[in-house]
Amino acid sequence: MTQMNAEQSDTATGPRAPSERHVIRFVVLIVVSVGLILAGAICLIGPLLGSSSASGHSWQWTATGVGDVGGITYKCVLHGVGPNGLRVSKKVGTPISLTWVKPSFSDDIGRTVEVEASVPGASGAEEQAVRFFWQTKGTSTWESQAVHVPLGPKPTTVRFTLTASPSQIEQIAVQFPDARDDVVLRRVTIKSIGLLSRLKLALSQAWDREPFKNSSINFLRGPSILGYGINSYLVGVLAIGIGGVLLLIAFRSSRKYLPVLVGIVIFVWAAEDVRATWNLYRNANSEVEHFAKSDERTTTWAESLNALDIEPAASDAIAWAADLLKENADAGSTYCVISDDTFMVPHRLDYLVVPKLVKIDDCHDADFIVVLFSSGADYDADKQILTLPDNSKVSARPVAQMDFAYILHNNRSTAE
Amino acid sequence: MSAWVVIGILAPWFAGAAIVYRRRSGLAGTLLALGGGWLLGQVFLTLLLYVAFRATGASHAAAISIVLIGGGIFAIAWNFLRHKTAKLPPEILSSRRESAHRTPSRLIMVVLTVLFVASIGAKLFAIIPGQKDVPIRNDDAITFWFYKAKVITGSDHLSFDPKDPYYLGGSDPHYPVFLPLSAAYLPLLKGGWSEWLAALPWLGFFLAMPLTILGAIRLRTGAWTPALIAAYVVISLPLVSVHAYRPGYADLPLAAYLAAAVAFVLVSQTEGRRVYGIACALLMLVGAALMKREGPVLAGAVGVVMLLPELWGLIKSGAKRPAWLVGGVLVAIAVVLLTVDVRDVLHNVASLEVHGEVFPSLVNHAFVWASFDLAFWLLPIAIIFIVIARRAEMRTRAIVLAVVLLGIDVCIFALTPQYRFALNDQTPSRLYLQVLPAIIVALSLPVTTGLLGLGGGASPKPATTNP
Repeated sequence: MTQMNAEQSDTATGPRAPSERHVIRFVVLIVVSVGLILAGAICLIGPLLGSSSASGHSWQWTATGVGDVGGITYKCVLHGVGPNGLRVSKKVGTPISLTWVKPSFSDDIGRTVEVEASVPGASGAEEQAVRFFWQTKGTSTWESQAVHVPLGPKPTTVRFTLTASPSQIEQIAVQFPDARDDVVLRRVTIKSIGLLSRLKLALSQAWDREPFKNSSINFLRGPSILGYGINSYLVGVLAIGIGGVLLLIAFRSSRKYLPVLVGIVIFVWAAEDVRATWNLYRNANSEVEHFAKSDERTTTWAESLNALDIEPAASDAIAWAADLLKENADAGSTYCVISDDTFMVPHRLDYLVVPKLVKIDDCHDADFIVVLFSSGADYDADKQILTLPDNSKVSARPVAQMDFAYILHNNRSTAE
Repeated sequence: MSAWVVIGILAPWFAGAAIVYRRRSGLAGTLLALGGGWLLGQVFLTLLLYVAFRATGASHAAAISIVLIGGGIFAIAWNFLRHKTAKLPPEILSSRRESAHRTPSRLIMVVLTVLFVASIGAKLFAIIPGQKDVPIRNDDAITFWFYKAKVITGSDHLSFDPKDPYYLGGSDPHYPVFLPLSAAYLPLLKGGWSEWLAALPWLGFFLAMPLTILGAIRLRTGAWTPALIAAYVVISLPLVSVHAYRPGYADLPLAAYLAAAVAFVLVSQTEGRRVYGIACALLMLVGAALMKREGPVLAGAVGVVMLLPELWGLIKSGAKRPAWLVGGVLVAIAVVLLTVDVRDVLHNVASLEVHGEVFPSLVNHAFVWASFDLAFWLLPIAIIFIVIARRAEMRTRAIVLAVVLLGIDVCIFALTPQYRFALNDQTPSRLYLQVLPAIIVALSLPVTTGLLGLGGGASPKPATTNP
């Protein structure tokens, strides 16, 4: 009897066996949390470890003689190879770019690209973009990364990270889209760097400014950190944080950790907000400083167009044409634009002169004809005849002229 | 800045705020009035300018300022006389008491407030000098929106003649003229074109959106924490700042109106503010429809998913004058159809064809690039959470809204001739920007109530039964 009572007592007051539901919940939480922590760790550590080869092999191109230029295709003017490297300058209408065709990499050379370059003619270091492109076998598209660094007379090393296996790469290219002075390219190296150097590189890339371009109103890419976008790292941190909290919940079975979960999300979000806001501030600071130097009338517009990757000469010409049209035309006068660029040039000029002047498409009926960088139009000043790209002719007298640009007054319009 | 320009900034804001403001609604109500008031004021302003141009051929911008101030004074007087003895309904008070018990420590509140204020403040340090000193130069700004504003300012005329080269402000007449009217209003008062003054409305939209969200969610949930989090998340979407910094695009204003419409639907779920919330939401949807070509489609989607159930619930519960409510909706639809040219949108809808090649680009914009931080990674998590959180309120509608709005964006690129703008990366992120704040506001309620339910707390009592 006593024994039975004791057994009953044990059943009534002793520790209860966990229910099947609790066991399943525990297992699911453990699996999910460990999965999240592992996935997060891969997101964070993968780029640091993934491509650092221990072999120390590298590929390098150094310009020490004219022979080094073989195997390179280029869109720029070559000025020769000196002791500091290959000196190149911009061709009108295209940014400086050099392409290495089939450079034959082995797979163990690592994925860190170093480009060493200088701008010998610059008075000091000025921030500009350097872009590295690569194309993998069997594809027609190029991947690219851009870094903004101060380039000046002293050689500067710019680092990129390949996201494709080097053995799969068919072509690489280096571009200096902002360069207006001569650029000296000293070397291009693809190699492996140590873990600490990669970590340092990752931190510096995370803080790199993403300059605002014309496309920034459409989207922001964010920094490329060791070849991966910022979101993959944020997702990594988030996964580890959430996984950790779920692990705690699995063992402690408490709901008080829910606010911690929300807190982790907000913390990660806020960290990225700080970066994005700092990026916004640096861009604003740079642009405000840049435009504060310009005068209101022409230069501001020319400069603003330059910042849109429009050819500086074209932007100067647009601002020049706008001022002259407004000065010489009566309100309600019509004009047409002849240009190889049928989008940017006429739209920007139109914005500058509305509503005083009205743009029309048919140059035969226009009071004024603006010819800006047109390869198809030809003006005979002696005969005062403008031949349009469609070979039709308009009798017009010159109002003003500059390189690659004319403003003409339609003689028919005057006769009327 | 001349006195008229100052009056011009304040007059529509005052008129809108006077209508949105409700006595005894505390700090949340004041914030709602400040944010929603700006948005509502711009709707009235642009419609009045449109009518003035149509009726007289000129803007009469100064007279419109006076009319708006007069309207604001009338609204305040009406408000005070009508709600002289207004008290907070018991449901709200009890809901707030419950929320107060659940409110996290004061430290968290302080941290969130500091985060929100510091984030906006830091962004303004960039946006204000940028608007003031950096020339407008983005494509659509100078080709459409600012172009029309410049034409209207320069001629003090809006052409309604399709043969006129400056028909509805010139450029592409399919682009609605209301945002250019908003941009032209201050330069018209100044007496000449000024890019800085034309850009100022974007600063207003940038600030009005989070204030509206903050006030509305606080009123609906009775708690500051979810309101601060939602407002902060919206204001810290990087592309929002870029659109304020580089004004001249209609995406941010459209986003602000859609988000405000959802916010006022939440307000309409509180007792004593049902008709008021529905009316304000409807006006915000009119604002959204007037902003951009795709505005009527998106406003229609938000209206059907969010507003109609509230309206239907109100009518079913025995609203005093249901004909007035239905009439209001019909008038709103008529105003949009009479003033916005939707033929372009219809043409796009009529030429449907599958363009599967756009999906890699859409994935980049949503998940890889930094335009939205982690928003698209967190959206599915939030939706899954809402599905499994039994006590989440308004969950069906919030999920349907998210799916419908994102679905519209995806369909625009995957099915219409607009696909080319996905392939060249021009518009996917901008279209997401239009809908994301509205989705965040809609999800804020079920996420908050779902979390409170999981945490074992009682959820706020809404005034209506939610699906």
